Amino acid sequence: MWKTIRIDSNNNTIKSENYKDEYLGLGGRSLIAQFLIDEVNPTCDPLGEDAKIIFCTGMFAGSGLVCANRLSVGAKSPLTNGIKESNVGGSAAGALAGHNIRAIVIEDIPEGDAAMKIVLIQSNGTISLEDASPYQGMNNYEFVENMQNNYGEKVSVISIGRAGERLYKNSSLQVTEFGTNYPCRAAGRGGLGSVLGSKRIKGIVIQKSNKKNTLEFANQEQFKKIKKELNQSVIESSKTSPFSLVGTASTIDLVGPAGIIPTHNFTGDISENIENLKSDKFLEFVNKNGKNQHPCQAGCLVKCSNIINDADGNFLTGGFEYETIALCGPNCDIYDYEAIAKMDRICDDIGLDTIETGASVALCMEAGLIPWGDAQAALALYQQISDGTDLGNLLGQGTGEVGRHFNSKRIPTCKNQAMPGYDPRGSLGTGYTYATTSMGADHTAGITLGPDDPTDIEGAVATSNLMQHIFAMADSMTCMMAMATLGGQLDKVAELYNAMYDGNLNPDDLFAAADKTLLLEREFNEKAGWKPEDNVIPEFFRNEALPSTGKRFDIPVKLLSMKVKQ
Amino acid sequence: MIVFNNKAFDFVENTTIAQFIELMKDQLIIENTALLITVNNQLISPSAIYTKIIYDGDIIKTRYLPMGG
Repeated sequence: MWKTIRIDSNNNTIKSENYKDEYLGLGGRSLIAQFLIDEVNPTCDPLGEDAKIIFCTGMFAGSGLVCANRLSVGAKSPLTNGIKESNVGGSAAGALAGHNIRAIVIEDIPEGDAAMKIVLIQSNGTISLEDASPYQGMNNYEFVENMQNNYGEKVSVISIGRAGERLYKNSSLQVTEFGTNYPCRAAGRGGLGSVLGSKRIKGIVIQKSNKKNTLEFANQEQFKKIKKELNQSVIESSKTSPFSLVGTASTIDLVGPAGIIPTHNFTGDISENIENLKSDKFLEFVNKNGKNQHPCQAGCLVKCSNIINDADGNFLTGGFEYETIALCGPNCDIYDYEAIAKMDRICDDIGLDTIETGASVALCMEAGLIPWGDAQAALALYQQISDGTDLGNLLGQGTGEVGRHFNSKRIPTCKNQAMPGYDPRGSLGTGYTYATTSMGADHTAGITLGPDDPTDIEGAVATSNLMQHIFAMADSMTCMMAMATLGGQLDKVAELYNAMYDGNLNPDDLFAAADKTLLLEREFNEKAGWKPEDNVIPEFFRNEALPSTGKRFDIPVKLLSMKVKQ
Repeated sequence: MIVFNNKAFDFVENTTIAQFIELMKDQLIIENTALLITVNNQLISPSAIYTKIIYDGDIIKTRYLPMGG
């Protein structure tokens, strides 16, 4: 039933393959890990001919399970030189599921300076490569508008902007959002936009299938029954969840006053201006011209997204998330939602990871290139990235490269990837995740944050290990926001799996599957040349105390370099 | 007796952690969200709660599953 679409970007061929039996029951991150282990040489050049980029849906995509229409993108990362899975909401995964497509694999690279192509999936299932040369050099919003004009207002689009075309290591892939159809959802991390750019593919355009949903179930009635129960449980818990009521920006209420949010390039200095960014201010800002509680994908019942309009009521950005706010805002001493929302828009348009970009701009401020807290000067740097100036090209190479260029002693990266919005001194377990995960510093690899975040090393390590498994599970089947409820009902999730795939899994088996995903990822990275001694937290987190608590990151180096206990 | 989030509850024999948590949810002691659970300061995997039995005197603590975005 499911199929894999394989595209050779050098020979311009497209094959539809039957989905491998042994891949049945995999999805999202677990499928990415298996594909990359099976098909990609870990020592390859991430932007070379042996590299592949894979798009796949979660294991329950198209089934009506809450938040199951999530798209995973995977490749060897040009930023970390390790395996990368970055997942995103939006309308693309649901559209692919409607065509019974579980995965798209794009391989090889064209010779010379070939014109870019578009992968077009039409309503009738026909797949073709179309000339994208008229759209080369376009950023995402303009490109999507063109695709909507050409192929229909409701097409789903996965695309890269100038950043991906220029092979920037901090480039994202943007996906059109459910409802608004703007390219404001990002598979942001790891520079995967450049991998698609290296294959000279500008985007994937998906028309809604004109066929009736033909998903197969081992026991459809049982599936429907459990799905209904699980969905209802998410509806209930969303009634009180801050992520639903406010959005991910609600995190600031906890991490702002606690000094865990990165400020002034991860010094942790707390500004009284943090009050400008708390939930009440966020809601005031969002609801002035836009709205919160927007579902980013069909079937989302959490609705943690939002629509931000400008003063004239025109759409400015959506999916305005905590990570973007933290790194582009307080990490640069900027505490103005209007300015940060503009930064989010320009990043989505160019196709940039907001985390990487915000962290890079802070390093420019630290180097004295622009003043701390100067939003207009920061926006001018974002524009330089879009324009491809020398400085813009440097900023496109990621935080590690920018820091080394300015001889900074305080580069907040793990495996060359910028840390997201949680200072590792304020969340030890999260810091342990940054240092040990196969994904580089990544908030989606397993955070331990919360009122009872362990402050002892043993507790922090144990919690990180557990959360790394839970996030691997979530990334394979649904959005992590839904996992905040479903994670307490793994017995029912296992039953759901069995009803779909004719399996015989129990909750322990789900955990074992997550364990296998983590092991495959680690195997890939070991073959790619990662070594245990690469598992480090930058020294300044050990030498400088976090002002709010006086604590340093004190998990011993030796403990970080030990293999994660599975 | 079971100490659950610093409150004392009657011990029930042959009860898994999952069943006990369900009881707590039914009594609105906790909300219907996923939890990280420690029993006697030992972190318990969310998959293990269906097979691990509680014992008289256990101290159980829960916290929301950490999520962010």
